[in-house]
Amino acid sequence: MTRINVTVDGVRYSDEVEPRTLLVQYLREGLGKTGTVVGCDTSNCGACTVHLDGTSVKSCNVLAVQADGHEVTTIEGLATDGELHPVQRAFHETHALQCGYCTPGMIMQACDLLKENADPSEQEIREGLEGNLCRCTGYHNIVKAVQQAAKDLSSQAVGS
Amino acid sequence: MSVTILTAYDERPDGTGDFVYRAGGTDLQERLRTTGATPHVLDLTGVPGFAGIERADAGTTIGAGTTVATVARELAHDYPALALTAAGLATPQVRAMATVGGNLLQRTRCWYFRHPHTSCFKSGGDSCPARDGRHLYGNVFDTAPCVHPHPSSLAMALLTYAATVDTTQRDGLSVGDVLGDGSDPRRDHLLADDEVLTRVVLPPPVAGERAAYFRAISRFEAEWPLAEAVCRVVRDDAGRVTHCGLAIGGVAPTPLRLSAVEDLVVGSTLGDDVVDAAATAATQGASPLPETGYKIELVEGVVREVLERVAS
Ligand SMILES: Cc1cc2nc3c(=O)[nH]c(=O)nc-3n(C[C@H](O)[C@H](O)[C@H](O)COP(=O)(O)OP(=O)(O)OC[C@H]3O[C@@H](n4cnc5c(N)ncnc54)[C@H](O)[C@@H]3O)c2cc1C
Ligand code: SF4
Ligand code: FES
Ligand code: FES
Repeated sequence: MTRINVTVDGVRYSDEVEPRTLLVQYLREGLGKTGTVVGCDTSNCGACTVHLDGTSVKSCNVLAVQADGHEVTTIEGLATDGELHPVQRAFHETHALQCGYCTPGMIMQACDLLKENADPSEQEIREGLEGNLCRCTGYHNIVKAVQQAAKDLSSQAVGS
Repeated sequence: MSVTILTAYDERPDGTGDFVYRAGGTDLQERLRTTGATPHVLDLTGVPGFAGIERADAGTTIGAGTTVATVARELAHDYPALALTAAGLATPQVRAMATVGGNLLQRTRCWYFRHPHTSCFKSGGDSCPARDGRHLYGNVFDTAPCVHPHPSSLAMALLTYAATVDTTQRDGLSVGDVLGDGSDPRRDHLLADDEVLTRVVLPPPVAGERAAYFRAISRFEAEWPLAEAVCRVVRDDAGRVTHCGLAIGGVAPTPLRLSAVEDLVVGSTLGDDVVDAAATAATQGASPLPETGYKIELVEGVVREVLERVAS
């Protein structure tokens, strides 16, 4: 067992983990943060996307020990004071999900995309989300959600 | 399985038996999981100097642990052919973790190799079940006993720069020295088990380089390309090409630099006739397998696309 110190969604944890534990297993089974899901387990689908020090990574492909000393944000850490994050709200409002399985990863990736590029074109949104697979929506409403979130975030930035 | 984060390349913790190196883990992690192997994992990311880009008059050095995303971002101006290839491979989350060294040394994506219940040359067996079985994503230049293409897109781009590679045991290797020619079907690269790829060295940037990267992809099955091409050219004031680097991937045991096609392009102004001739010449010597004939057209197409892009 190895001791790791990691901040997840703003809370500091210190835990003993098996060296082979994947970050996604630690989040779900160790911390009960089941908002992050596993879709494929082979780094293809993006369902398990979280932020590691602000950059999106596939948590099925990162070991928990690699997160030692770092900061992880999951879908459960996006809302503040019970208010949905603008990207979460946009997914809800534009019906960007059907079964919802891809949604946590899709939203985390969309946040990373919008942090890099506050005003992405449709093509840039599609490219930015290429690591996230959705079997239901055909992506159309997902792109619309990201466009709406981009608008909401920029008017928020202007307003503040 | 145990994991040690190394602080020096030659560090060997007590009790290290069988071991593998890990950089970003985007290839290794999945293989360990599907095969159930439990070697000691020596993580290279803690070694000082493993990541980072250094520029000097003699050239640019990329630490093996530099991520693909960093290459895409930081070398876009000076080495556009490499940076465009880096930006075009895999997916954003993978590029954030995957390293340059790991990209060159990743293992083949062949289904049979990655399946826990089949064995082949590359997984300790003595045959290639894909040759008589399914090889839809296989080579169209069938020049080696293993029929699956080499997966490294960066190796293809590095060929066009005649980049060299240093390891803990040898300096100044060419990409060909590292990957071999496929004649030993057991290997995807020729580094020894205890040899660490430490850096890639590029010649000084060339002013006015224009570049393009293009891939044909079946998103439905995989994000590795069915065929890909990268091209870099320098043109004089009259628009005449003074230098051309052109390579293709996804179709042969290793990425191929197409010197004969480069020769067609150099001296031309990249008119339609030259682009046509180059695209046709790129498929010279193709020897498709029963299921890979479709890739001939793809090779022509991706080569045509990169040439048209650098011409425009
Ligand atoms: C969905 C998806 C799509 C992809 N598409 C593409 C694509 O289109 N083109 C492409 O080129 N790649 C593609 N990749 C592969 C990806 O680029 C590689 O997995 C990645 O570059 C490997 O780098 P890494 O640092 O994660 O290597 P690791 O997984 O850490 O290591 C890979 C191998 O190299 C060895 N190794 C790593 N670094 C060193 C070193 N410095 N010295 C000695 N040995 C070392 C390891 O032991 C291991 O065997 C894709 C991957 C995924 C998951
Ligand atoms: S030898 Fe190569 S092509 Fe044949 S099964 Fe193995 S990896 Fe696949
Ligand atoms: S579960 Fe991690 S990428 Fe699919
Ligand atoms: S909504 Fe079902 S997978 Fe995306």
